[in-house]
Amino acid sequence: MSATSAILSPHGAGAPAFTQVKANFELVAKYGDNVPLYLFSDMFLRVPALRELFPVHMSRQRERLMAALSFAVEHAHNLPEITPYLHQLARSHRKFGTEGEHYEQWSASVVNTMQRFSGNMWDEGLEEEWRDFLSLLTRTLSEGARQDASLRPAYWTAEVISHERRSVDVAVLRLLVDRPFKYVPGQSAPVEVRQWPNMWRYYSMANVPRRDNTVELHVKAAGAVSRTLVCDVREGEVVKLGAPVGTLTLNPNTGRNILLIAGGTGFAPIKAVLEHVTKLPVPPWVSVFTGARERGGLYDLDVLRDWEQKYPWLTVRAALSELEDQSVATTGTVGEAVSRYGRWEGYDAYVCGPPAMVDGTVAMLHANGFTDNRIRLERFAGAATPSRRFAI
Amino acid sequence: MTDSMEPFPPPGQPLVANANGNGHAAAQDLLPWSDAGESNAEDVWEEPAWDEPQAAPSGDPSGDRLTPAELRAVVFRRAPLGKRGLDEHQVNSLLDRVEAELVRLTQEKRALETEVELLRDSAARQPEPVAPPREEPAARPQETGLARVDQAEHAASRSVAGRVQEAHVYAASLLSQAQQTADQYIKDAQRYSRELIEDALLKRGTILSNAAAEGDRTVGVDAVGQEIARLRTANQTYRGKLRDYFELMLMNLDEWETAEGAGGST
Ligand SMILES: Cc1cc2nc3c(=O)[nH]c(=O)nc-3n(C[C@H](O)[C@H](O)[C@H](O)COP(=O)(O)OP(=O)(O)OC[C@H]3O[C@@H](n4cnc5c(N)ncnc54)[C@H](O)[C@@H]3O)c2cc1C
Ligand code: HEM
Repeated sequence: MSATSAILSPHGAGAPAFTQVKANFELVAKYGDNVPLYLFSDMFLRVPALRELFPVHMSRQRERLMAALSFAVEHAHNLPEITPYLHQLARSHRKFGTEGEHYEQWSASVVNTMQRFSGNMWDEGLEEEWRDFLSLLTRTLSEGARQDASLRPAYWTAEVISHERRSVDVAVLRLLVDRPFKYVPGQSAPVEVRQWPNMWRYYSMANVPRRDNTVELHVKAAGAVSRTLVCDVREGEVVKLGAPVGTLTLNPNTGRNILLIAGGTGFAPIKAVLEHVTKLPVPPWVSVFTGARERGGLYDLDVLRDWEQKYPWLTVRAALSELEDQSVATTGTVGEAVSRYGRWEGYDAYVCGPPAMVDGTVAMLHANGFTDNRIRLERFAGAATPSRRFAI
Repeated sequence: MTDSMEPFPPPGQPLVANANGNGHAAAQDLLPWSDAGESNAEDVWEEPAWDEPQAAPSGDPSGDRLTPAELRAVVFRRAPLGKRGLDEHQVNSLLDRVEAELVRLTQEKRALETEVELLRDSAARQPEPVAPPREEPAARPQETGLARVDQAEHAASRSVAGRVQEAHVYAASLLSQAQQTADQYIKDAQRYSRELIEDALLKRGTILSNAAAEGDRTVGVDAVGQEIARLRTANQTYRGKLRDYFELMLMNLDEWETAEGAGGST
C-alpha cells in the first residue's frame, strides 16, 4: 500500500516508473466510455451518497475524468511534474464538496474498474502498483485541497439583489456576496444555481471589486445554466460562487494604449478592465469596440456612452453584424470595425466574447501587426473551465 | 487532448506575466476599490472566515449494496424526466428492470451471507465430533476432517465472494446502462429546447429584418429622420410582440428546466 512498496515489489522491474500501470491503462482505455461508466457505477453502488455530488448529466463528466486520469497516468513516473495541475484540480474540487475520503473511494473504484477490464491480465503485483500510484495521486490531491483551505472558503454564497432583463436573451444581475470576494478586474468566477446542482459555469465580474461585496454579471441565455440565470432567477435568490480565475486582466505597465474588444456578453470583463483603467492615476488612451448581432445585444451601450462623455481619454464604437441599426452602430463584425479604424501600433488589445468571435478578432489583430504578447483574451467557451488561452 | 477535454491550461504552458502559481492573476495583490467618490481609506483584506467544514455526506461504505428503494434516487434523484416529450414510460420501465435486478441481487446476497454463516458454524462445530476417536493411532483423521471443513469453507466463501462480486459487476453494468439512458434523454431534451429557441430566434430575426427592409423602401429622400423614427416604433412594436411570444415560449421551456433541475430537491 505504501508508495515505496512498489519499489520492493517482486514485479517491480522499474516499478517506480509505474510501467505496469501505464501499460494496463492503455489496454483498458480501449474500452472507451465503458471504463468511466463502470468506474462511476462501482463508486455509486458502494457509496450511494457520492452520487449527490455529481451533475445529473454525466457524459461530459466521464470525458473529463478520463482525460484527467490519463494525464496523471502519463506522468505517473514523475507526478511532482504535474503537481501544480493536480493542486489546481483539487482546489477547484473544494466547491464541489469533494473531500479526502471521496478521493479514496474513487481510488478503490479505479482499482475495481481496472481489474474488471483486465481479465486474467490482473494479478496482485499489478493491483499493488495501481494502489501505490493512486495513493500518491490522492495524496497530492488532498494536499492541494488542504493548502487551499487555509487560504479561502470552498465557495461563497451570493444573493441576487437586482435582475434586469436587458433584451430577449441577455440579463444583467447584481449579486451581494456574503463575504469579501477578492479578484482582479477581468476575471471570472464559477457559478452554481439551485436549479442545476453541481453544474458550475463561469461568468465574468463586470466591475472592479467593491467594498460592499457586490458584483455585476452579464449573462446571455445559451444553455441550461445561463437560461436559468436570464429567465428564471429572481431577486432574492441565492447562488454559489467559486474562486475567481482568468487572465484577461489589465497590464498597466506596458506604456501602450488600450484597445478593448467585446462581443456580446464578452463585454462583462471588458467593462471591469475599463473601470480598472478609470482608477489609474494617468489613464492611457482607450478605444472600446463592442459588437453584437443585433441591437438587443448592445445591452449596456448607454453606460458606455455616459463614460465616453465623462472621460476624455475614452472612445466607444459599436458594431452590429446581423440586424443593422445605423443610428447606434456601424454594420459588420467588431473585428471589421477595429480594422477599419486601424492604426493600432501603440496599443495592447483585450478581446472577449464567444470563441468564434475571439478567434476571428485575433486573426484580424495578427493581420494588423499585433503579436501575441500584445493580446489578452478570454473565450466564453462552453467548457466549464477556461480553456487554453494565451496572453501577455 | 481536445480543447474541451483539457480542464486547465496544461502545465508548462506560458501564463501571463502577473500570474501566480495558480495560473491566475494574483488577486491578493489588489485591494478592493471603492466606488468613485468614496473615501479610499484603510480597507485591508481580511482573511475570509472559513466555511464550516462541510460534513461529507458519507454513505455507508460498509459494502452494503444499494437497496432497490434507493436506486431511483441514485440515478434520477434530480431528474424527473417526464416532462415535455420525454418518454417517461421508457425511463420507468428501465428503472423497473434495474430495480427488479437489484431486488434479486440483494436477496441473493442475503442468501449467500446466510450460507456463509451456516458454513462457518458447521466448520466451528465439526472438530468436536471428529475429535473423540482418539484411540485411533493415526493422527490423520482429525487432520483430514479439519482440512476438509477448512477447504469446504474456503471454497464456499470463495464462491460466495465470487458470486457477490459477480452480482456487483452485474449491478454496476445495469447502473451504467441506466445512467447512459438518462444522459441520452437529457441530451435529447436539451437539443430539443435548443432547436426550439434557435428556430424562434431565426423567425424573430426574419421579422425584424423584413420590418427594416420595408422601412427602407418607404424612406423618402427628405424625411429620413422621420422614417427612422417610424421604423424604430415599428421595430419596437414587432419587438414587443415577439418578446411576448418568445417569453411565453421561454416560460414553457423554463418550466421543463425547472422541473428537471429542481424537481426532486429531496
Ligand atoms: C472564463 C469564462 C468566462 C465566461 N463569462 C461569461 C459571461 O460573463 N457571460 C456569459 O454570458 N457567459 C460567460 N461564459 C460562458 C458561460 O460560462 C457558459 O459556458 C454559458 O453560459 C453556457 O452555459 P450553459 O450551462 O447555459 O450552457 P450549456 O448547457 O453548457 O451549453 C453550452 C453551449 O453549447 C451548446 N450546446 C450544448 N450541447 C450542444 C450540442 N450537443 N450540440 C451543439 N451545441 C450544444 C448550447 O446551446 C450552448 O450554446 C464564460 C465562460 C468562460 C469559460
Ligand atoms: C470523488 C470525488 C469527486 C467529485 C465529487 C467530483 C465532482 C466533480 C464536479 C461536481 C465537477 C463539475 C461538473 C460541472 O461543473 O459540470 C467535476 C469536474 C471535474 N472533475 Fe471531478 N470529482 C471528483 C473526483 C475527481 C478526480 C479524482 C478527478 C481526476 C483525477 C476529477 C477530475 C475532474 C475534472 C478534470 C473536472 C473538470 C474540470 C473542473 O471543473 O474543475 N474529479 N468534478
